[in-house]
Amino acid sequence: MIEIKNLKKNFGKMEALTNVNMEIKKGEVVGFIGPNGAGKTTTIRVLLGILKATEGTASIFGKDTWKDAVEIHKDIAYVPGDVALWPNLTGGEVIDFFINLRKKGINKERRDELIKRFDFDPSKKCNTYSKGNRQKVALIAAFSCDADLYILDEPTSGLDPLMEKVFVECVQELKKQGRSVLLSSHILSEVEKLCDRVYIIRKGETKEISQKDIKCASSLEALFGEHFKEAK
Amino acid sequence: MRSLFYGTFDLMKFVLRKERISTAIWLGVLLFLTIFVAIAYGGLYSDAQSAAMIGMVEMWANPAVVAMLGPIFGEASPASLYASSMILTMVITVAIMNIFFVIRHTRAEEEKGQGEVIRSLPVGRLANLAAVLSFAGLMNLALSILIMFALWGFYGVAGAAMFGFSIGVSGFVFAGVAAIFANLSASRTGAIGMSIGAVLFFYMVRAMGDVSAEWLSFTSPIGLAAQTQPMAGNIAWPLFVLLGIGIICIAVAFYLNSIRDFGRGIFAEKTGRREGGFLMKSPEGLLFKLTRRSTLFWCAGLFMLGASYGVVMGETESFLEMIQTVMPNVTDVRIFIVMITMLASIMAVVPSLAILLKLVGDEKNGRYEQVFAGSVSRHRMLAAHIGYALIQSFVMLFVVMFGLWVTSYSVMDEPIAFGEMFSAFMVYLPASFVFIGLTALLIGLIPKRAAVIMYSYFGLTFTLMYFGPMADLPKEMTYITPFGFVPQIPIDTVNPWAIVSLLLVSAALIAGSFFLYRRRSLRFAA
Repeated sequence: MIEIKNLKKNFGKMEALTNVNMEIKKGEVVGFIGPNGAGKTTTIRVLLGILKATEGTASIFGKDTWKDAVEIHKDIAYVPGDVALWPNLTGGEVIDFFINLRKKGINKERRDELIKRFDFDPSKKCNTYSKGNRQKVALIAAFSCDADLYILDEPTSGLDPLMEKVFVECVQELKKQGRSVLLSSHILSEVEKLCDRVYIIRKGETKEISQKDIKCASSLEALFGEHFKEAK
Repeated sequence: MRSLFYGTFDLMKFVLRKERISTAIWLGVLLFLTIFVAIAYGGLYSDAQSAAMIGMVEMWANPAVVAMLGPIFGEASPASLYASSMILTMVITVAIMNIFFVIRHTRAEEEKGQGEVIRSLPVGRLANLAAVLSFAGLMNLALSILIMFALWGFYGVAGAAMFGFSIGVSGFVFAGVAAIFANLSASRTGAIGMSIGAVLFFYMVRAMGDVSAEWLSFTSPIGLAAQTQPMAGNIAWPLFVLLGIGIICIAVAFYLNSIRDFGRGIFAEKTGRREGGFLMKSPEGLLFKLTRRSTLFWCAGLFMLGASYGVVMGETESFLEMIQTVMPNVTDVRIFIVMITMLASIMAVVPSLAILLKLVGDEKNGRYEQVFAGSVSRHRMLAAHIGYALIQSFVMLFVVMFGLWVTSYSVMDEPIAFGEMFSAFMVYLPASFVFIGLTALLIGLIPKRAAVIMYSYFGLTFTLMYFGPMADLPKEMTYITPFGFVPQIPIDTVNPWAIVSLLLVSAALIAGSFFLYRRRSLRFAA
């Protein structure tokens, strides 16, 4: 599904990513963690073909993420950590717009079911939504799609605990259906619960962690702390 | 290559969905202006031999007027007079419309993060820019055709078409210019500032060309738009040159968009200071820091407004005849001063309104939430904004007066004394205060509607005071605005009661605003 090899990204003189490697196979749910400013979002933007890699390769479905972005995007769904919407449109309008651009038609049943599960009112204008409700717009639009890969960048920021539970259920359903998920998050318990494997990123460099490593360190949080203590 | 533009049409429909109302308003207002002036001119300049017409043409012999409005092409006729006096105003207004439109949907969406969600969907990298520019093209085409049909009945099809398309095509050029700056600058404000700077630059280049070296006018898109000589020569080739320039700009914008990183500009952002300076110690300092740049721009603009009126006052011999053409009931030079002071004073109230309305603007978007979360009282914030607006209203009035006085002093044979000019302007200060007081009251009472109401009221005031005398409206009608009560120095004698009552009313309004603002809840964005 995803394959990143020796990825580097510079912004002018600043080196944002120095050496990122990642591989996600079909049906895997993979976590992506690291401190603020380590390069998580930059990596994801390279995967989305929004940023061009300085060196190295990144591919999704075996296609180059920069050159074949349009093709790739037809089969992926993305949820950013901070969703910016258009103040004069309603939540429902934006959800349908996002789904329509994928050109696969709207599965109204699935969409309405998600709206109900997330307890969301799609008839209000976007400027009246709170952070959590804006997040729901992106989540509902993403989960309504029949995508092969879901890229989620801190998708639960601003959600209340009940809604976070709904989110976890949704991801588990995706997993059952054999879809792949890349989940970037600071909520380590969420990552630990959902993910088969985890990538940790520090100063633009990734390291892979297996479930076994987590068990050895007793919890992901302990491992995270250890990793960055050692780094200092 | 195809994939770069994938989804353009869908995004264009989305632009239409977002823009349908504001586009309709822009086009409607522009069309109204086109027709309104045509009707007003129809009454004033019936044929080429009328006295008003001859006076107007005489006024145009003044290089300052040519620099401001451009030359009259060919034989003066009611039609060519209309075209000459309207073309630059329309071209600049439409250029600004295009700049705001393009940047709102490109750099601004990228800055806010809306662009990121769009780019994660199956759309090409250049699709959004392509959609926005295609929409701009259609919008300008529609505008050209609408103007053509609106003026057809007045001035005949050829001139009307040339006038309409000169405006539309130059608007398209500035959509392209804005697209370039949207890629060069990483911020919305930067891109808008640079684009409007380009408009001013090309306006000045044209002014120099029109006054001294004609070839210079052909190097400026604004000059080229006027050089089609609508309703006189009706020369079409500049339109094709403009179209070519527009297409080149768009090609450059696409290239720049393709080589830069998302969210960044070609120009690197400067890093700022690491610590908050003196101004960041208080909410008053913050307010000053946030608005000082726009204050400076307003000062420069109003100074130039005053100065340009001042230059025109130099032509003392033909002076009276000239103003009689514009304002037929003028019999004394000083009435002209009255007219200028009134219009300039009304304009000078805008920055004060903007400052005061920032209080509700930054309430709505949530920025002031953090300020109010600090130990800052409601009264302190309101007082800061009102105080700053009051000071600003004096400064702006002074600047526009100074611009007028300095230039008129240097060109007039019998210059107007500073004291006389000063008092002619400062009598308007109490009326500005009433405007400020009313805005403050609305901020306390109905914050959501305050901006709309005040800007509409301002528009009404301007229209009534400017066109009222032209349309021979009864004087009593101006009493719905505070500016209607101001004694018109140096024609009228000073009526102290009018001034005192305006001051009392503004004081009462401000007092009321303090009472109301303390008692309502603040509505920050969630």
